[in-house]
Amino acid sequence: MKMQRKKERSIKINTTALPDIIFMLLFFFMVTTVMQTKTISELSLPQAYGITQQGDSNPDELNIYIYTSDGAQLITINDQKKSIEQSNLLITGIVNQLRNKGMHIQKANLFIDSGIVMSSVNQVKETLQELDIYKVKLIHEYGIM
Amino acid sequence: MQKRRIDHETNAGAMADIAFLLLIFFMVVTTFNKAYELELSLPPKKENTRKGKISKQRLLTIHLNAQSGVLIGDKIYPQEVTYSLTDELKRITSNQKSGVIKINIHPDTPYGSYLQLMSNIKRDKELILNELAEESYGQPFKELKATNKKVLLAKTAYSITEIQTERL
Repeated sequence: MKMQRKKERSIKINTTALPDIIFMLLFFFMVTTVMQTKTISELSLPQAYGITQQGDSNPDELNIYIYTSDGAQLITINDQKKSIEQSNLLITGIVNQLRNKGMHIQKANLFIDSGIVMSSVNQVKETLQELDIYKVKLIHEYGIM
Repeated sequence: MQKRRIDHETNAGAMADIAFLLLIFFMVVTTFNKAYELELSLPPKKENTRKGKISKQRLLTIHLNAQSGVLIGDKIYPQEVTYSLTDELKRITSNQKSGVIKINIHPDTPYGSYLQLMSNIKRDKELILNELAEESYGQPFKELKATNKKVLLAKTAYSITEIQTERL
């Protein structure tokens, strides 16, 4: 008896659903993507007439965030949070720690909420002066004045 | 006679290519909105403090109050009113010596209004520099040679002193 030959199976993959999947992914990321502009959610940078765009962050620059959270004024540097009254201790501690590691901290970037009172800002500036940090950059958003 | 059935299926094979093309286009074209910076040079603490009289001609006094109001010379600008400092800056830098801007800041002044003032000063200085550059060299300031830039920068030089006032 003649054996019947096995039928060759077609191994073509149906790709008609592929565009649907890609579009779905595209729309999902388009809708869910939130551009992160601030590292701290409570911080709303003030708007002012901007001339110089912020350059790339340098490891030798100290990033200082001052903002209000639940009515309290807070300061954050390198993920360490303290109330504004203790800003002197925090800044001095971190700068000395970094300097002991051999980093030359000479510049500071200040990310300050527009509603913070100037006495707190001046307090931070004075601390920076004491630590021989004289180059200070005030980071803000662009607004037409 | 029976009509032949026409196949109405559209070919969607190129759809994935289009989606990828769009995805890659937007990935390449997207630029992230960067923040702006305003650089300040702080003076060394309690050193080199100069005492002396400054003539009224080269002095501009500005007051910032706790309600974001700005007092420039004898004019008051309430919050969110645009103001120009070009005339005042021209006045204090028209002398041989550099001008002095004295800013009296109330301890409860919001930082936002202080920053606006500082950026307005910087903007108006740029305006004056461009004006002078067009007058003297017929070019915008950015395109001037370094030596010419220095001359104009010396002409428009000023220093800023900030004083935190006491609460009443």
